[in-house]
Amino acid sequence: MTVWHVEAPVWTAYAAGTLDPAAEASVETHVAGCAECRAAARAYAAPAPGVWEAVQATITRPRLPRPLRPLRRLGIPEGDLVVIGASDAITVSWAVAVAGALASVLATTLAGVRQELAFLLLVPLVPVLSVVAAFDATDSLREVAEPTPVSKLRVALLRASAALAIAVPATAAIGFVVPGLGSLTSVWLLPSLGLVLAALVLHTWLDAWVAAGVVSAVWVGVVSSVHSELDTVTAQLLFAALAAALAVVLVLRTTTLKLGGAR
Amino acid sequence: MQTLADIDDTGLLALVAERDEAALRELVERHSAWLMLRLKRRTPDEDLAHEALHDTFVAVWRQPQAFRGDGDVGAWLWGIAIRQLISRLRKRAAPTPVADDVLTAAGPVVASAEDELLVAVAHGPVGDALKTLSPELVQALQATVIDGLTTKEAAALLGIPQGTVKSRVRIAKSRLREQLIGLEGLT
Repeated sequence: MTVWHVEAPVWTAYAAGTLDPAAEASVETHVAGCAECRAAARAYAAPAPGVWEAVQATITRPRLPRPLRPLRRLGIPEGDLVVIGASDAITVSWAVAVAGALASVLATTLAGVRQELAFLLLVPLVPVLSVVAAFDATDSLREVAEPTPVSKLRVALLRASAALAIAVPATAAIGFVVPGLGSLTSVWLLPSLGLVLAALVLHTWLDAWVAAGVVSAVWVGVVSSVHSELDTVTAQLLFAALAAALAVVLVLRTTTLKLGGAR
Repeated sequence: MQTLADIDDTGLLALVAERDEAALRELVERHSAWLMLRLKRRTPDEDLAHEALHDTFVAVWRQPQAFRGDGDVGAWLWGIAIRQLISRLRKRAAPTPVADDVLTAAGPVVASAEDELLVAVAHGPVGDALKTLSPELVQALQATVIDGLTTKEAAALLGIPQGTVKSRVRIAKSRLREQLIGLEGLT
């Protein structure tokens, strides 16, 4: 063992930053391995109040779910990720998206000559189901939104985006997996956007799954009556206009009223 | 019943691994002061030093098993602290997640037998030679040799390109070599 220890004047000079580089290096290298000197350092460091309290606060705070952690590195604010991660339903939502996409592939393939009809019926609803799953009753939007110092619109958009981040690519992949769909692979996007927004608007009054049911029923009605017209420019513009209008309604509903609807 | 104060740092880490908050608190009390002093020698920004210190103990809590049991806990802690400081410097706005590689890469471990050598260095010809180097060259040596950082980490800490770190270390070493040869008449 060494008998050399950092002495008082050396500590003072070190803390003030006035030691020459060689002495500074030897103080540092010694102190890192000498418990006695580390204890002595307490007399020369300006007390750093609350280090333990801050550390304790951090370690007792629940951590983000593992799948969301990489997103923080991409610069998404931690607060937003907490809102997304607050629902266990987000993983359910992603599972619904993938399962829905697979089921659509199966149904579309089995539908034979009615392939296009099956595709148009099912595929736009996959994102709706996935978003709805993200707002599922076990962790309703209302319960999150009320105690959260974040606007309800922001909560709605964050969670819908998180759901769609998986649902849209999963659904889009169907167009490439199932042969012979041609132009249909992109036709569903705008209607689906409209349906998601419609479900969210309805969710301000109704339970999430009821809202999804209403939207699905309407969509089935639309497709069964006019499915051959859906890929026309007029129809697509109409859906775009509808989506824009629903977005406005959603903003109005969520900024002025409680979101979450009746129990 | 022995108290936490009687347990050495390695023992405290083992308790931390068993989710003992009191053991972590004891580590914070033992190590905050010197880590803070040393962090303040690496950055003029006191808030940043505080944040790095905080991150260090959070990292210890999350992965106490990253300490492989060889060498001193103090040296390991400094290895984490300096890398947390570098992370903070890279991205000042957001809190830095603790990457596994931060913990495993941590720490030049110093045996106490090296202390005698260091005393000799500080008060001998190497110490005198170091004094003749410019502060920039000394900083580059300090980051790479004393803190054991990689060129990339040193570049982030000092805010200069990696190539500059390399060339400064090279210049500093060759100056030291020239002076030592001059002093002792070595060939």
